Amino acid sequence: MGCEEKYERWKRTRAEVEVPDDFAERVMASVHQLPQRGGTSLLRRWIMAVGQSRIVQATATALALAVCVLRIGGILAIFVPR
Amino acid sequence: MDDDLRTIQRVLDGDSDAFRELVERYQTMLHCLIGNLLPDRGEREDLAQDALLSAYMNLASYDPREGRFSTWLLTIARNKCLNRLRKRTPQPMEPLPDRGDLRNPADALAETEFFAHLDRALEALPLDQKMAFVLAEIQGLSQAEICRIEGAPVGTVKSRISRAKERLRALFSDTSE
Repeated sequence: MGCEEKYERWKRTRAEVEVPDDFAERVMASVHQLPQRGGTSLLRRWIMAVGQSRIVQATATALALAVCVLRIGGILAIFVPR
Repeated sequence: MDDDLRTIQRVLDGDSDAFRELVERYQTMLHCLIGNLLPDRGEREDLAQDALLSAYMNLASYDPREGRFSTWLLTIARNKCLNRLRKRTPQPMEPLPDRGDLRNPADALAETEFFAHLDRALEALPLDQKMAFVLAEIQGLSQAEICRIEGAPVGTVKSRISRAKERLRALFSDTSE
C-alpha cells in the first residue's frame, strides 16, 4: 500500500470517533436541570424577528439619537436668554 | 423547513426533550472535532457536553440565514476548544517527528507506526492550521462553512489548509523519491 493510500486511511481513522452510549442521556440530564424555557411567546418571537432586521435596528438607533439630541437641546435651552 | 429547524422550533416552544434529536444527530460530529483538537477523552466528552448545553441555552439566537445549525454548533465547539487550549500553559512547539524511518515504508514501516507519525505531526501543527485541516480534511466541510466557523476570509482558510497539508505530506513525500 502506498503512502498516499495510507494517508487517506489515516484521515478516515481520525474521523472515526467513539461516542459513549450514554452521552445523549447525560446531556439531556443536564438540560433537564436547567430552568425550563416554557415556550417562547408570540410577542417575544415577533420582537426577536423584528429586532434582527437591519432597517429596524437603524430606525431604532436614529430615533434614540433624535430623542437624545432633543433632550440635550431642552437642557441647553434653559441657559439661552429669551 | 428542514428537520433541524422543525426540531429547534419544538425546543423553543417548550419541548426540551426534542433537543435529544439534535444531540443524537450531531454528537459524532462534535466528538470528531473536539477529539482531534483535545486528545484527552474525558476532556473531549466534557467539552462536547458543554457545547451542546450552550447551544441549548442560546438556541433562540440561532439564525438559519447565517448558516446551517451544524455550522453554528461547530462554531460553539470551536470557541470552547480555543478557550480551553488558551487557558493551558503554552507548550513549546514540538518539532515534526523524525522521518528517518519512513524512507523505506514497504520494509520498515508498519501502518500503525505511519499513523503514529501523522498523529504526532498533526499534534505539532499550529492551532489555526490544525483546526482548518480537521474541519476540511477530516470532517469534510466546505470552505464556505469553515470560513463561517473560523470567522476568517477564504484566502486565509485556504492557506491554513494548504500549509497543514504540506507539513503532513512532507513526512512521506521523500519516501517516493
